Parts: sequence; structure tokens; C-alpha cells
Amino acid sequence: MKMYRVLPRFLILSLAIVAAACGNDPVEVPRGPFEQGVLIMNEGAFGANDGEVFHYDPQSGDMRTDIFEEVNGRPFAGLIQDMLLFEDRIYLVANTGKVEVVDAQSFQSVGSVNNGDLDISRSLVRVGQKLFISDFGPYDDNFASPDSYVAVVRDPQGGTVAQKIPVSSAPEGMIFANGHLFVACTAGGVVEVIDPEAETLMESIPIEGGSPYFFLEYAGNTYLYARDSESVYFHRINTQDFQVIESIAIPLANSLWNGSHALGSGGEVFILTSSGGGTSVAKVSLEEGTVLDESFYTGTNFYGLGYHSGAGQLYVGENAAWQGNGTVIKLDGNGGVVETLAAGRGPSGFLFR
Amino acid sequence: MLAWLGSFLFPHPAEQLVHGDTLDLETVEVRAFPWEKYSLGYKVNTLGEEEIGAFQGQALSELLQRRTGIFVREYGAGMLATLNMRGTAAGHNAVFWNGLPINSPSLGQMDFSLLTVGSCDAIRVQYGGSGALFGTDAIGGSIHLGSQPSFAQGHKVKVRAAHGSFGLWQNQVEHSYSNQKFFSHTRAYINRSANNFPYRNLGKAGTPVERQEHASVHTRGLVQDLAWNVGANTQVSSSFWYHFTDREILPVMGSNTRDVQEDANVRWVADLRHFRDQVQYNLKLGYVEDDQVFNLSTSNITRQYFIGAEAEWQATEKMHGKSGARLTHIVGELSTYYKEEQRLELYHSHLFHLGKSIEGAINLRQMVVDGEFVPFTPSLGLEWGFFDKETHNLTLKGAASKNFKVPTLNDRFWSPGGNPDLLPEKSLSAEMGVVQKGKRGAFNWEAEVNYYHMLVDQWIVWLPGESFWTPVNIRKVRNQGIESSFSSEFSFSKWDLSADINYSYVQARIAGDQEDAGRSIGNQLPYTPFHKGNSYLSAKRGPFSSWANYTFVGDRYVGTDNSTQVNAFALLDAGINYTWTMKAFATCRLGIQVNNFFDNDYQVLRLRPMPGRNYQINITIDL
Repeated sequence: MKMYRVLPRFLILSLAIVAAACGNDPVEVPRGPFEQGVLIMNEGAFGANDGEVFHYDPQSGDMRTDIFEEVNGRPFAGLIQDMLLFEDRIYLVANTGKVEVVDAQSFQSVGSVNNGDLDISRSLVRVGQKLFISDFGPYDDNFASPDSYVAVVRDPQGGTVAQKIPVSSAPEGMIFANGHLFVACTAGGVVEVIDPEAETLMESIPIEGGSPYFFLEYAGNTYLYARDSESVYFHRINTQDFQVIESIAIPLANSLWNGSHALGSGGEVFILTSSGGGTSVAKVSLEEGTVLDESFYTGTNFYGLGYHSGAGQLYVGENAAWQGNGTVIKLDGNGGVVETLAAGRGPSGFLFR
Repeated sequence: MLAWLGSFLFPHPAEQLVHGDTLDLETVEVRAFPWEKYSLGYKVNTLGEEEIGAFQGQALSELLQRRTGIFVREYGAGMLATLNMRGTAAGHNAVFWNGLPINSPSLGQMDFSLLTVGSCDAIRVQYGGSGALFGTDAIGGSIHLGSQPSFAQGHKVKVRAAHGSFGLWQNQVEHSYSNQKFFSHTRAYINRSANNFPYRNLGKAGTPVERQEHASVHTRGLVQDLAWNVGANTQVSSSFWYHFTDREILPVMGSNTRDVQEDANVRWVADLRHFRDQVQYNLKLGYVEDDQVFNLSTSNITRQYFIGAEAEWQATEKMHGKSGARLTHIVGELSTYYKEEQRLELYHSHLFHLGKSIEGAINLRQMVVDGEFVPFTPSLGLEWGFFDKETHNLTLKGAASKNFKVPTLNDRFWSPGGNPDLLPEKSLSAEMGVVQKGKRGAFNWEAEVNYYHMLVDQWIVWLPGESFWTPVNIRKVRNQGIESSFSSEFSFSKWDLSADINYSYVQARIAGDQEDAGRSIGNQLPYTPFHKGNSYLSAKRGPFSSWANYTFVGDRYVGTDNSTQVNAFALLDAGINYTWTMKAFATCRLGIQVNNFFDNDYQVLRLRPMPGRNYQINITIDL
């Protein structure tokens, strides 16, 4: 009887102590070494397959080189075309025909798509338990890509390609929106729409104005970034009825062939341009459809861009003309150089965490 | 008459029999490398019958990697192989076959995996800038392959077959016939290798050991050498070489490429030599065709037509030289352009003596490419035999030269990107060395040490442009290094022992460029090891002989930033041979060898696998 009375009080007291303890001294979950900071994607040189990932800590200024090899005890052995974070996995897409899947915190390899099924992989989107990989397919005699496809792997850890969905030539960036997968086909000049459940092609959206490259989301809208030699374009896509709602053409000539750009704050977009042997970072306004600054920052051999929204800084990858390792130049909001960092071969993209 | 002329025109004259005060003129042989006497001051390495026999059926790249101090950049076993001579680029060495330059005019270089060792009789490796002697490309050195006619030998037949690991089959058949006036030597070879060696695939999770599935190599070829002694003062000779290679291009680890490449090479040369008092005239005609087909569709063909005339003369007992001209007509039918080009070269070489012990050579050359003068190239070489005893002599030698490389057709005309305004690459080079030769009883030795210093300017580098890559004269490189070699022979009891040791130290520092804002200045060039060495030991007793060869290649940087290295590697190869005579008319030799004895896992270039331990058995029959 006595015990019956005391037990509830003891439990209440215990819960209160635990609650108090939690509030004052939270239990820390161990963080992986790469959970925070900046991952720098170094593409690697053609024929050398020396792509790698560096990790940069903006707080301490520490740079860890070749983290894929450091963690996994083997070189990446490929040219890294894209680096994407989905949930607790980072996907490293190599245009040499493979995808490496690593743990997002530790960078430990957890799987791959690497059995000869892929050709010239470009990007990846994870939808549920499926991976969709855009791939140019094999080149023909004229280095065209008539047999492009989106490969489907039915395991987020990688494995074999279960399905290849033929798409228009040279699929590049992709986005999953409103239950559909949108694929920008650079040479085909269309956006393909794929039903990820049925793994079938649903529709092709013709694009008037530039070659389609990548998608970006701004102010609740989905935009397709496209370019040609005279202008860059932002096509607003209705992801429900697959229509181009609006096309914004901005007269910015000589945007870089690889479509490198970064969405900044307030609808500003940074775009690399190349002219007369030099390269520049241009700043355009997506909202106004104008060029804000054609020469926000100038130099040579610029190759990749990334915008660190938390710090309001722009990261510019420089490839040293592919003769050796490149650098990353950190710029402030006015285009002033904050710092220059030693990077790997052909720094082309960034993942800010 | 011929033999007498040979005695002054050729320092190592052919067989000649002296009977009293008359000369037997019936066995006249023209040396394969008449330029050698003008290369005073330079290091020249001879790869003779022993080396050629040991590597018969293999690519010349293998012989050079294992038996010389030259580092060969091999893009995988049996794949593209180029030389790094004194830290220079793949196109900075000239290659000659029977006096014809055979570097591809479109690529400006030679793939040494396409030169089969058994297709020639003699090989010379000449180190150092020698543009005045050899013309374009000879910035780091030059390689010379030659046939050696041999008269009055009757019929000879030679059959060689080899079988080895990873589907290796090599077969070569030779027949030669010669009397006192006529010489014929026919060689045919067929080699193939599945090249399916196991390797650790670093491009896959777990780094599994897999078999190489896409690296097979098939080669076949025919060589025909002919020579006639037409009258007492004239000789006509001709050599023809057809070579075909069909290979799967080994993919770099991490790639799934399935490229294939076919290379067909046709080479023909004819010489008319006429001997007069104090003068030898030489008229040379030549044709070189290279046809490369990539992935069975993209064809790149170049044709070179040569005509040259040369007079070699002796003014006094201590002064002689040669003067000549060569006209080359080049036709390039490449996949993206068509180009014809004329090249005229005028050259003069002069030997002289200073006192009793100093010999010198002055070489001069002027090339004109499509009416444009390229840099005039002189060179001076001296050798001073400052210590000369019966058992021991020492020679001090040195050379200085200016050298050049005409930009390749692709550099200037490839579409898109070719830059027709490119200037020739140029270099200034100087070297000095000491040679010691000795003989004590049954022990013979020769030791040599050389130091060289070279500045290469206007070095062409392909750089990314707005839409495509384009070549520019941008880089300057300062090279210096030491080459040393030691060879010896020793006989005791019934044993014959020999040793050859080579070591090279190479610095190739970037002295100035703009492509990376000067960050790489002072750095070592990529894939240029500081250290390369090898040693070869052999022992023979009666019908048995054995050998062992050790090759060491030091760390190599991957890029100009010098941040990533490919590990050093060492290889030990060893073999044993047994030779016997069969019924007095056939000599047979059976050989067994093990390559990469310690099964080292190594790469010459990063992520391009090389085979582990492998075996070969071969038999050679001479009739």
C-alpha cells in the first residue's frame, strides 16, 4: 500500500529530474567531421580521373584535401560532374560513368553505381528509394549524344541500373517537383518530364531561348537556366501543367559553356563569362531581368561558382588552366577578395552545410 | 677503293682483309649510323645484338625503360609510350629509322609502343640537344634505328617464338642471303597479347582485383632490307618497313571507355652511295606514311616524302666533314584539316683536331618551313683524351647547342583551336662529362658521368580558351641533371660475367609561365622522376646463361602544382637461357624469364594499371 503511493511520486520526480537535466545539459549527438563547412568539388582533369573533394571549415580556415581518398583508402578515380545531398547521403556523380554514394557526415563509402552500365553521367536526383541519373550516353562519331537517357537505380545506396529512359540529347540538370522529374536536355533543347513511379517519359517541353542547363528555385517558382552566346535565360516552368509561364532573357554574352552559375540573395544570380582569354563573374537580377554588373569580379580560368548564403560570400573556382591544382577565391558582397584557398584539380562546385 | 674510303669515312670500318700492301675489297659495309662521328661531346648509348635479341618481339618502349636511364611514360601495358629525355616533353626527341625522321608530323612525337625491337639491327640513343645534327624535335635527344647490311654471308634463317602470361604470343621469321655484291634480309613478325592481367581496381568500392578486359594488342609487320654493290665505287640500298597495330585502349581506372585504335605505318628508304677520291656522295629518297584510325571511324593520315643529298669529304688527314640538304614534303589528311607543307634543311658538319688529343665537331643547320626561317641551330662538341695508358684512359668531353622544334601540324592547324602563329620551341643546352675506359686482364669496363644544363623556351602548352583549347608558346623550363653509366665484362675460369648500370637524376623546373599566375614556378614538371636507374647482370657458363635486370623509377608528380605524386616503383626481371647446337647446322636457344618477379603493384602513370608477375618462354633457332 505504501509502495503504491510512493511509486507515482517517484516516477514524477524522476521525470522532472530528467527533464531538468535535458534542459540544462542536452545530450550531444556526435557530429561527423564533414557535417558542417564547405565541400569543394574538384572535377579532375580529362584522362587523369583525378577528381576529388576537399573540405573547408570557414570558422577555422582549415582545409582537408582529398577527403574521399582519406576516408575510403582509395582515390575517387573519376571526373566529378555533380555533388548532391539527399537526406543522409551525398552522391558524387562522375562523368566517367559511375556514381559514388557516401555517408553525408563521415564521407564513408556506402555504395556505388559502377558496373559499366553508365556512360557519361551528369547529375542525379533521389526520389524516395530511387535514384535517377542523367546520362549523355555514348558519343557517336561526331561526339554527339543521340542515345541519351536517364538511368534508374532502385536503391538509394546504389547498385545496378534497372531501367534506362531514353530522353533528348545531352540531359544535364534535373529537379523533382510536384511529383514529376524534370530533365534539362542541353542539345535537345527541351525539358523532358518523367513519371518517377512508372519510370516513363510523359512529355517534352520545348524551350525557346537558349540551351537548357539547370533548374533553380526562387520565391516558390521553378526556373530553368538556359544560355546561348548572346544571352542567358530564365524560363519559369509550371510544374503542374508543364508549360513555360514566363521567359526572362538577359543580354549577357559569352556565358561559360558549362552553365556555371549561383543563386545569390534577393534574386541575384552570379554567372561566369569568358571573353578575350579572361573570365568574369557577372551579376544579373532574376526579378528585374537585367545585368547588374557585367564584371563583378574578373580574372582568368574561372570554372565554378557557389554562394554561401549564411556568410553572404561568393566562392569562385579557378582551374589553373588544367595544368595543376586550382584555387578558390572567396568574394564579399562587393566583389572584394576575402581569401584565396588552395583547391584541387578544377574546382567546379560547392556544397555549403 | 671502297674499303679504303670506309677507313676514313667510317671510324669503325667494315670487315676488310689486309694481305701485304693490298686490300681485299670484297666485304664493304656501310655503317648504320654515319652521324656518330659528328656527335663528339655527347653521350651515345649503344643497344646492340644482345639487347635487341633479349627484347625481340617487344616494344622499344620496354627496352628503353628497362635498359637505359630514360623514363618512358607508359599509358598502360602495350599502350601509348613516350619518352621523357632529360625532363623534356614527349615531342622533344627525334626518332630516325635508317636516317629518316619518323616522328609523326601531326603529333610531333613517336609512340614507342609501335616500334617493335626485332625490326632493326642496331639502336643508338643519343642524349642531349642535337638540333644541328638532326633537325627539329631533337631537344632532349634522339633515337636511331638502323639496318646493317652484311655481305658474303650466304643463307641464314632465324625463327623465334615466344609464349607468355596474359595471352602473349610472339613469332618472328627471318631470312637473309648475301654474296659479295648482293644482300637481302627479310623479317616478318606477328605478335599478340590479350593483356588480360589481374589488377587492383582502385576505381571501385572495396578495390577488387579484376582482370583487365580491354587492353588486347595485336601487331604484325614486314621488314625488307636490300643492298647492292654496283661496281667498285657504288652501293645502292633500300629498306622497307610495314607495321600494323590493332589495340584496345586500356581505360584509366574509374572509366568505362571502350576505345580502339589501329595504326598502320609504311616506311621506305633508298640510298645511293658513290665513293670517289676523298669524297662520298649520298643520295637519299624516303617515304613515311602514318595512318591512325580511332574507334574504326576517325582517320588521321600523314605522308612524308624525302629527298636528300649529302657529300662527305676529307680535306686533310685531320679535317673532314659533310654538307647536305634535305627536302621534305608533308601531306596531312587529318580528320579536321588538310595541310601540305615543304621543309628544306641545309646542314654542315665539320670535324677538326686540336693538337694530338683534342677532337672537335661543329654542326650547323638551317631549316626553312614553307618559306619561313626557323632558328639557325649550331652546335659544338669537344673531346679531350687527357689520360691515355694501355690499361686505362680518360676522356673529358663537352658540348653546347641551340635546338628547336617546329610546332606540329595539329598545333597549328587542328580545327578548332589550332594556332598558326605559334613559334618554334627552342632550347639552349650545354653538357660536360668524363669517360673512363679500362682493361685489366679479363676485366673490361667503361664508366661515364655527364652533367647537363638546358633552358627550353617558348614551350607549347594547350590551354583552355573561350570555347575550345588552343596551343600557346607560354612555358619556360630549366632542366639539369646527371647521367651516369657503368658497364663491364669479366671472364674467369669458364664464366663470362657482365654488368650494365645506369642512373639518371633529372630536374625539370618550370622557370616561367603565365597559365596559373606563376604559382608553379620552380616546380618539377609532371611525370618527370628525379631518379631513374637500372642494372643488368648476366652470367654465362657453357651452354647456360642467366640474367637479372632491376629497374627503379622514383616518385613522379601528377601536375605542375606538385601536390600529388605517383609512388616510386622497382621491378626485378630475371631469366635463364640454354643454347645448344643441333646436327651442326642449327643453333637453338631456349629461354625462360620472369618479369616483375616480386609481383609489385605499380603504375607508371596514375590510375593506369600495369601487370604483376608474369612469365615467358621463348625459343630461337638459327639455321
